[in-house]
Amino acid sequence: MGSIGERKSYSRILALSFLLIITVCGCTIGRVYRGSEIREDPKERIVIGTTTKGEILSIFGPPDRVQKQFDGDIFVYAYLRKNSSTFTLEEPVFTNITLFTFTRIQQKKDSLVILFDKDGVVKDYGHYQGTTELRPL
Amino acid sequence: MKGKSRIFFFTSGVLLVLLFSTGCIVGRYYEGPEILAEKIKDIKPGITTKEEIIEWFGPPQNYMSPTVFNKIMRDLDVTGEPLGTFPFANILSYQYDQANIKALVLVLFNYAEAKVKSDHLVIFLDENERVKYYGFHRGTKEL
Repeated sequence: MGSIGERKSYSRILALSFLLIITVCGCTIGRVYRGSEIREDPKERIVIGTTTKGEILSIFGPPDRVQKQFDGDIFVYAYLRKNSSTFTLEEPVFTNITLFTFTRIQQKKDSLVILFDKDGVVKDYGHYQGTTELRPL
Repeated sequence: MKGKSRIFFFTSGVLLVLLFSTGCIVGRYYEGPEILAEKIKDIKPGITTKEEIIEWFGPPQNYMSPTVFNKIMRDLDVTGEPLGTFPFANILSYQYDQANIKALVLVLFNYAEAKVKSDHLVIFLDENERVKYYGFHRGTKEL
């Protein structure tokens, strides 16, 4: 038989454990990858006024999108990544109340847009590497 | 001491239940006809005809041409990407998508990951309906 003080501390620990168990906190991490990474560095491979559509296709592969304009085509390459993380604190047994939720969604894209003239030669291009800005959580 | 061991067993029991209340989800999604990679080497710019391409790879998913209508359709959320179908244009496009989904579901922690990759073949035709340029990328092998 323990003393009254000891019993009290046990029951406090039990109550605290019970509270902790019924107040569930959960973490959810999500990752989405869409498309293929842009294989080559456009700065090294594209020469404005020289590189042709055929060369672009052999270097970067087929584009994700082709847009036709009256003065030439546009090739669009894109690689998308989405990182999401959620932290939830809830009581799922009695009240089913969500006490706290924190969500962070980061969606970044690597994109390369190449503009051709009517003869199929690169007129201009734009490249942006957004996926390097993704934070792990 | 009895009380302490009771708490220990109770807590361990709860932890064990939490640990083993786990689930795994694995999903696979495939869309579109597979592109015959062994036929790619037979495509010769200036020689291969549109008919041969259609014979080897079947009907293309997208004939892409003036995009005004496509753009309107996309703006109205009627069609998403890829672009809609426009017959008799000079671009043939074939796409095969594969998505691998995996998830780990625990009581306190969940992790989900989806990877979507595509095999993509785009062929540009000249005015004589012969291959002018083409591009092929096998994205699904990265999965």
